[in-house]
Amino acid sequence: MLSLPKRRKIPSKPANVTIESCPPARNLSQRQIPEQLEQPGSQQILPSNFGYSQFVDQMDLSSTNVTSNTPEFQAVILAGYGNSLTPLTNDHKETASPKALLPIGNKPMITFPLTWLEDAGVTNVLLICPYSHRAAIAHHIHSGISSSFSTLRIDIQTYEDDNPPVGTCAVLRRFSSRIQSDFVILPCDFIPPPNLLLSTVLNRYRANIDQLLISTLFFQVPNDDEEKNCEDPQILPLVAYDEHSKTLLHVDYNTDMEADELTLHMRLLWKYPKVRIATRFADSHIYVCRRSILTVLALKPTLESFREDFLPFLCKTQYRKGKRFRWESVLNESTNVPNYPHSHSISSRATSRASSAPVSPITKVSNTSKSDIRCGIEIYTLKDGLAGRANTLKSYTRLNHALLHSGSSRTTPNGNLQNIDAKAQISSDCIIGPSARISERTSVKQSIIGQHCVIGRHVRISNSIVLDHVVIEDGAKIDGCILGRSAHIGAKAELSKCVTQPGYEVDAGAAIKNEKLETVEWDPRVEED
Amino acid sequence: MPPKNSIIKDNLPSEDEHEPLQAVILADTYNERLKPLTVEKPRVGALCLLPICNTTLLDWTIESLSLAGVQEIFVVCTAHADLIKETLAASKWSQPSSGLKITPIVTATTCWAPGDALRDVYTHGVITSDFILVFGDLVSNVRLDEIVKIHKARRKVDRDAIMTIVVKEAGTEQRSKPLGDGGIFVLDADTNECLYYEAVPGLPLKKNIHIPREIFDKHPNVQVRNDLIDCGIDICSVEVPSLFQDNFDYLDIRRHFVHGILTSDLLDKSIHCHVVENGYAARVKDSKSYAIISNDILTRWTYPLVPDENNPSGQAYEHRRGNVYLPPNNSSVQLSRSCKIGNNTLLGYNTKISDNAQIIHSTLGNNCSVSANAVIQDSYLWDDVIVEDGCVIEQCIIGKGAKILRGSALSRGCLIGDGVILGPNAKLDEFTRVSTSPPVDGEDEGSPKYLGPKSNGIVWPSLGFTSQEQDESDEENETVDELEAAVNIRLLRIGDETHLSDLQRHEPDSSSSSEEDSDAGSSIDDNASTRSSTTSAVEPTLGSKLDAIAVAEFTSEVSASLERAWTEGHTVENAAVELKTLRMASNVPLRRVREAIVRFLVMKIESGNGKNGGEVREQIRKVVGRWGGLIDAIGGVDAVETIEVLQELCAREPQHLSLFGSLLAALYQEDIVEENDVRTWHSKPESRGKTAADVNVAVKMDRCWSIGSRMIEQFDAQDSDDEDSDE
Repeated sequence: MLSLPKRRKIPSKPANVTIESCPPARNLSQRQIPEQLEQPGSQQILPSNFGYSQFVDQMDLSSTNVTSNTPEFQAVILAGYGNSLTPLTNDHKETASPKALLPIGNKPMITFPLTWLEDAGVTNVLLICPYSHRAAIAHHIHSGISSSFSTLRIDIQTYEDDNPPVGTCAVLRRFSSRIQSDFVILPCDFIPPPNLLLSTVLNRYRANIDQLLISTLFFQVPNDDEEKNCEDPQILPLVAYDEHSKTLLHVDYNTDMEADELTLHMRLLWKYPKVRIATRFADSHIYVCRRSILTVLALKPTLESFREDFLPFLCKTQYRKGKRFRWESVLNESTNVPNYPHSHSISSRATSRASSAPVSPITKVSNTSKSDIRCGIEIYTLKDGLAGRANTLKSYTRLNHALLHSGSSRTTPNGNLQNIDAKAQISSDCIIGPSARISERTSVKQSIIGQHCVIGRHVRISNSIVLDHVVIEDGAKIDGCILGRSAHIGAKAELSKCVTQPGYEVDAGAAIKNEKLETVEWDPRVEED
Repeated sequence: MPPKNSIIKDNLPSEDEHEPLQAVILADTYNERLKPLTVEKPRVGALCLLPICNTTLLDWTIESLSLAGVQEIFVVCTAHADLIKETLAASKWSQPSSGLKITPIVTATTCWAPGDALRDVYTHGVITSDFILVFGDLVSNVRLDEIVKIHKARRKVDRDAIMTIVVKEAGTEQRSKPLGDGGIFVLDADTNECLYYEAVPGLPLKKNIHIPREIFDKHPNVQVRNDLIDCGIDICSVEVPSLFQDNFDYLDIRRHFVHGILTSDLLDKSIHCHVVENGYAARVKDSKSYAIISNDILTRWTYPLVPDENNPSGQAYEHRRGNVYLPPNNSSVQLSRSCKIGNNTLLGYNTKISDNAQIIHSTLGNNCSVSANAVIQDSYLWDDVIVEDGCVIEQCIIGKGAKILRGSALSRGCLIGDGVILGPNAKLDEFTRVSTSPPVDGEDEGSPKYLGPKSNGIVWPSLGFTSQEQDESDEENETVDELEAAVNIRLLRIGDETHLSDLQRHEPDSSSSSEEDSDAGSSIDDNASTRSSTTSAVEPTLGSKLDAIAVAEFTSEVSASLERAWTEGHTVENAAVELKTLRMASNVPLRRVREAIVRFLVMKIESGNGKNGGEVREQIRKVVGRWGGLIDAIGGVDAVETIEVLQELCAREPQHLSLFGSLLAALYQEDIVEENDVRTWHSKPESRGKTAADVNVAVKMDRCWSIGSRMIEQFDAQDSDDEDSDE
C-alpha cells in the first residue's frame, strides 16, 4: 500500500505557487472531486482559505515544527527532460511531455514525492524544470487532478531549454540563492516505499546534525539473474560504508570500465577498520544536505553529476587530510537559520564546528570525535518492488505493474463505470482512468487505462500501460506495450512490446513487435539529472 | 597411539574421520626481530624456547594446542634443533600421561622460511587429515577444535575450501593491533570467504590498497577488515603442504601462499577466515608483542592459561591481589619489608628483593636478585639476573644470567642478551641492544656506548636503524620484504610508542594531486600541515615525546648541525656531507632538508641586525654567498622547489615576508636559481597561493608571487643586460 497523506481535518491552504507569468488557476470545486473519490471515507472540510490564512499558519506550525519563515528543511525537486524515458517524453505537436507528469498508476509521478514531502511536514518546495515544461507542471499542481498539496509552497524555477545546466551540481549552483536552509533533494520520478517515511530519513539527519554533511538513501536491489541477462542492466554503483555508524565512505560507478581494481585509501581503513562493500545498492537520489555544501559546489565548478562526482568528493573529505583541511571550514560554516525547536542541536553543531576547525598536529585524532564530518547512508531493502525511481522505461513499467498488484481498488474510480460497456471484460487487476470509454466485447487484463481513452470493440489489452487520451480502434491487440499520450491505434493493429511516443498513429492492420515508435528524431538534450 | 580423549571423539563428525587431530608447530620464526636474545649460546636458542612469564613459549604453544584437543603434534625445528629435541624429551609432554604424541621434525639448515618448512613436512608425509598449523610462539585459549569442526563441515560441501585462517577482532576503541604488522582481509560478508589479502607495514606508510574488482561480481556483500589480528593459526587441509611443494616460490604463508591461492586463475581453491569472538590468541613475534602478551597473561586474558593454573611449565604460583604472582608459601622468595611490589607482577622461585626496591608491572625469572633502591618497571627479567643497588630499568628485556651492576640506568626498549654484564654506572640510551657476542650476518657493530668499566657487552646497532648502504643494497636485491624492512621493525620494539597519527602526520600526501585532477590544493595543504609540525618540533617545548619520529629527530638535528657549521666555520662541502648522513639516517624527503636550509639562511639574515635596506642586503649577500651553495649540495638540485620552499616560509611567517624579493634576487645572483626556474615556479598554479587553505597565507603567497612577476618583467626587459634585478 502506498501511504497516503494523513489529512489534517483543518481548512487546507491552497497551493501557494509563485510564478511570475501565469497566475495560479484556483479551481477549487474541480480539485475537490478526485480527493473524495480517492478517500471516500474521509470527511473533507471545504477550504475557506482566504479569511483563515492566519489560522492556517498556526496549524502548520503545530504540525511541522516550523516557527518562522525559514524552514528547517527545504525540498528541491528536480524535474528533467526524462531522456531515458523516450519516446514517452518526446514532444507532441510542439507540446512538451514532461517526465514529471507521466503517470504511474494513473497519477502523475511527481505526485508521489510531493505527497511524501507533505507527510513529513516539509512545506517549502523548490521545483526546478525546463522552461518548456513549466506551464504543464504548473497547471497540474493547480488543477489538482491528484491530491492538492494544500500545505506546500511550491516555487517553480526554470532554466532555458537551449542551454540547460549540465548535471545536478550545475542546477544546484544556478539556484543556490533560492536555498536558504538545509535541504533535501528529490528526483521527480521517485516512488517512495510504502513503509518508509521521509521523516525517518530526516530524523536520521537531525540526530547527527553536527556531523552529517549529507544523508543518502540507498536501496538494496534483489539479486536476480534475469536482470543481469537483459540487454540493458541497471548500472549499480559500488558502495563502501561503515555499518555501525552508517557512514558512506566511497561510491563509484566505475564509468570508465578500465579500472579493474578498487583503490581504497588507507586513511579510510584506519578510521573505519570494518568497511562493508556492496554492489547491489541503487542510489535513490534522495539526499538530505547541509546548506554549506552549496558553497563547496560554487567553489568547485568542475563537478557535474551529484551522485558520480560530488558524492565521492564529499566522501573523501571524511578521511583525506588535505581535502579535510581545505574544506572543513567551508563545510562547517553555520547555516543561517533562526531558532526553531531543534535549536539546541543546531547550536551544538555551531560550537563543535567552530572548535573543529584547527586540527592540532599534536592531538591524536580519535576515531569518532564529535566534530567529525560524515556522509550518512540509510539502506532500505525493497520488499514488494513498489518503490524506486521510474527513470528508465523498464523501471517505469515495473513500478506501474507493481502498483497494479498492490491494491488497485484504491485507484479504480468506481464512479466511471458508466462509460464501460457491460459486455467488456475488465479483470480485477486493472486501473481505469476517469471518463475512459470502453466498448463491448473488449477485454482488459493487468493494464492501466488512462483518462479519456476511447477503446473500441473487440480490443484485447494485456500487460500494458495506456496513457491519457489514447484512441484504440476496433479489434486491436495490445500486449506488453506503453502507449504514449494521445496515441492512435488503428483497427486490427497488433502491437507487442512496443512503446509509442505521444500522439503516435499506428495504421490499421499493422503488426509491430519490440519497437520504440517515434516520429521525430531523438533530440540529444543532455539529461538533467 | 596415545589414549583418545573422549571429548575429541564426540567432536569428530563421522566414522571415517577417526584420525587424531594433528597440529604442526613451526618452531622458528624466520625473522630477526628479537635478536640478540635469540642468538645467545649455549643455553637459550630458538625463539620458541624463550621464556614468557617464566615458561617457554613452546610450552605455552603446546598447552594451547592440547587445550584445543590436539592429539598429535609435529614440531618443525631449524635453528637449535637439538636443543628443542632435548627440551621436548625432558618436558612433561613426552610422558605417556600427557595424551599427546609429539614428533620433532628436523629440517635442513637451509630452510629459512615457513614455506620451506611446510615443504619439508610434505616430504615427510606425516599429515593424514586436516591439521592445525601454528608457530611456536603462540599463546591461545581459543577452542580450535570447534573451528576445525566448522572447517571440516565446510570441506564436505566444498572440497576446495582448503584453509581457514583464525583471526581475532581487535577492539575499535583501544586497538591492540600492533602497528606495523597488520594486514587487510577482504572477506565475503556472508560466508567469511577470504577474497583478498594485503599486508600493511607501519612504515613506510601504505597509502592505498587495491582490491581487484572482479571479486565483486561474485560477491555482492564484501567486508574490508582492517581490525583483524592475525592469530597465526591456520586450519589446513592435507593439500596445503603439497601446494607449497608445487609452488616452491611460496615462502611466507600470508603474503605468498594466501595471496597466491587467491589470485591464481588455475587453482580453484578458496580460503576462509574464522573470526574468533571469544578467546585469546596472539603470537610473540617481536619485543613489543612480547611485552603485550606478558601483560595479557598476567592480567588473565588468557585464562585458563595463567601462571597459577595450567601453567605449562609445571611450576606453581599463587595469585595475589592486584595480579601479583608469587611462588607458593613465600618459602623461596625473600622480600624485604620495605620493598614495593606493584600490580601485574610475577616473581620467580628463589627471588631476592632488597630494601626499598620497586618491582612494577614486571616479571622476574627464577633466582633473580634485586638489590636496594633498584627500580624495575615494565621489564622482563629472565632467570638468574642480578640487579645491583640503585639501578633503574624501564621497559627492557634482560636475558638469562645478566648482571646489571650498581647505579646503571637502562632506558626504554633495551634488549640485553644472556650473560651480559653492565656497569657500574652504565647509562644506556633508548632501544640499545647489547650482547656478549658480536652481531652476525654482516651487521656492523653499533656505535660504542658507555657500558661501564666491568662490562663484557658488545653493542648491536639499534634495531630498525641499519646503515644506509645496507638498506640500499637491500632495495636493489629486493630481498628485504616490506614487513621486515628496517623502518617498519622499528615500530615493533618494546617501548616504542609511535601512534598511527604520528605516522600519518608525516605522510606526504602529495601524490593525491596527480590522482585527482581537480584537487590541486591538497598537496600544498598536506605539505603545509606536515611542515608546521616539523618546524614546530625544532622548538624545545615538544621535548622527547616525538623523538621516535624520524622526521622530528631529523629537523632538530639538522638545525643543530647547521648551527655548528655556522659557528665553527665548516666548509659547505663538510656541512653537506653531514646533512646527507642525517637525511639518510632518518629517511626524510629532500624537501625537508631544503626547508631546513632555507629556514637556516633566513634566520641568519634576520639575526644580522641589519636596520636599513642596505645593511640587510649586505647581510643577505654575505649569507647567501657563504652558505647558499649548500642548497644544491645536499644530493639533489631542484631550484623550483627551493623557490617554493622560500615562498612558503615567507608566507607562513610574515616577519620574513620583506626578505622574499631580495633573497630570491640573491639566490639568482649566486646562480642557485636560474631565470628558467623562476619562470617555471611562476607559471605553476599553486604558486599563486589560491589553493592554500588559510586565507592569510594565500594572500602572502600571492604577494610573493607578484614579487616574482616583477622579477620576470625585469627578465623580459633586459635580454642581455646583466644588471641588478633587485631594484
